[in-house]
Amino acid sequence: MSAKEKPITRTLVNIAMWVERRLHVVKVWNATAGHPIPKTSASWFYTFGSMTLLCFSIQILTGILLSLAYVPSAAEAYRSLQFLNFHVELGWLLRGMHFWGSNCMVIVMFLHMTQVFLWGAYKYPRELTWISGVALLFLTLAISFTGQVMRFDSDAFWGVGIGAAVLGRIPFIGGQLVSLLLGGPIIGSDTLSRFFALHVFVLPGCILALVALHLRLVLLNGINDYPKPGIQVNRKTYDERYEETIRKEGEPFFHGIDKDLVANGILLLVIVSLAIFVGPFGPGIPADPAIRIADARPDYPFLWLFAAAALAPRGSELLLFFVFPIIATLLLIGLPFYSNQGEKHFARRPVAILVVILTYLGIGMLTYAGLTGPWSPHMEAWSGTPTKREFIEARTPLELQGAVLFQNKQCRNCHALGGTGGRRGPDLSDVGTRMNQAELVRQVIQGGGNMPAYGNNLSEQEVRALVTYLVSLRPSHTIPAQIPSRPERTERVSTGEPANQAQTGG
Amino acid sequence: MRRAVFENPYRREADGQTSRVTCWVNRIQGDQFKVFAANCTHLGCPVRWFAESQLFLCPCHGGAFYANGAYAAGPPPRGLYIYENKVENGELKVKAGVLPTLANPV
Repeated sequence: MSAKEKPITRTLVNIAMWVERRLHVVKVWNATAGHPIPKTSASWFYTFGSMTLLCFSIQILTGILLSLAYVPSAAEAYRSLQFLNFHVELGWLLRGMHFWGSNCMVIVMFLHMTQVFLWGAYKYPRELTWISGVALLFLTLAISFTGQVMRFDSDAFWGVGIGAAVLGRIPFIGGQLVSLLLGGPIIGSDTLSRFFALHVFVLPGCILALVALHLRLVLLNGINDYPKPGIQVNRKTYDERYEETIRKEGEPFFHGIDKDLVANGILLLVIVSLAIFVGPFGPGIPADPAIRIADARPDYPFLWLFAAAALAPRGSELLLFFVFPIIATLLLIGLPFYSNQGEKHFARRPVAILVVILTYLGIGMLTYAGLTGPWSPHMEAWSGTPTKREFIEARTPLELQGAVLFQNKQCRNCHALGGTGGRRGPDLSDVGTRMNQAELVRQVIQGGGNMPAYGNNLSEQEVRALVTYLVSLRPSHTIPAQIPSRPERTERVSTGEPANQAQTGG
Repeated sequence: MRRAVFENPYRREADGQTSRVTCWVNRIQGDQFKVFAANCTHLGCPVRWFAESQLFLCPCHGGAFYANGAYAAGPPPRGLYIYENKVENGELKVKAGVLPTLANPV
């Protein structure tokens, strides 16, 4: 220190040195930002981890700000969100960023996981890094679901209802689990309070702790060197070879983060843009169980599961909600053990590529199905969907009566004509080519094949008119269905109740 | 078939609108009623009554029930949950208050 320095500078330096001697900032900095990594790992494909961390940071920041206005009470939550949307300056932007940040976090985390899987980074010696990552995936999904409940609109309310119904299916302890989830006999303020506690205290705390462990493990075991086809991981030689790579072509971590910075900048732009141009999500219809028209559609990360619940064979729910998740979790956690050594590069691991393609296709298709929901009856089709001329033109009075019945008895809610109407059952535009008069009468009266029985809801005359109309539904160049057109359809799942048990009530 | 809304007996101030419960009431004859919970037995979504087709339909996964609450179609494992009820001094009283689930079917 030269004598020319001003006393104030000297004092500041002294304070800094005092802090440094006690806190070892430089040492920590060198051990983290300065720790050597393989030159090859500065890759665009290695940026998803830091992007996930960015999303989580955004969630914490926006979450704290949201909590300044949000009231976690069933009576107030909805109004406090509307207050945020319309009265708090830029409150809508905060809500938008929190919502889109959450969705981006799930997506980017999934991409991070895919990359780690395809690049073989989970293999020796990074097993625990992978396992802590799997735990972080589940925690992130949990915080995403509890976050949806914070909205406490109709979707959220019935979403919790679905959660309760799922837990209620667990043998023996289902009832207790439902009470634990709801915090009371119904979905009410106590339910919201416990989801709030999970969402803002328990889950973020767990995530922070696990992120710390995850990063510590990255520092301890080093960033995965970029895999090359043909180079095998061997427990005996790996460490030595990795250290040699670091010695030869290592560079400090902070020299290689330009790509991370760019990728994170782009992600931040994407989240802010989504928040500005698409805006915050909801709140939708208020969480009032007395409102009849409620549609419980979960947020994007859970749509695939929602769709799977509709499309899975009846009675397989226990399999879908418990056996499948347990097997999937065990497979994920066990991955670094049953695939511990050998090839890292995906070019030499065709099964890994197949697994990724199938997973993405499966989740993608189920999510699409969840967005469109073809299994739900189209509740307004009978009264609101027009009928094309070809389905009415040049028909006999009896057939026309049948056409009217087809609308009035709401057949259209499940059956489309000419592609419009419900998609729960088959499109009936050409049913006359597939089923004959006798078969149609039986189907209408007894139901079956996932169709309710209408025997007690239609008079003999009405059935005759309806079936006469249906038989006439076929393109002019085709021949009507013959007798017997196909074996009697008896695939109706047995419930112990006869199919024609319908009663007219009113 | 009529839709009825009642206040949940376990209501607290903070529950707001969520303590309102919907059920479907079917008068069989005279003082005899059948009261169905609105929660679908598949995954708990609220079913709606359609008088024209004489069916309860669920908006979530397309479960369908007949007017007597029996299973008609779709993924539900059983018929609708039925609340006990009685008529006292001209008022229909329903034994309810707990969210019906398969583990606790009212």
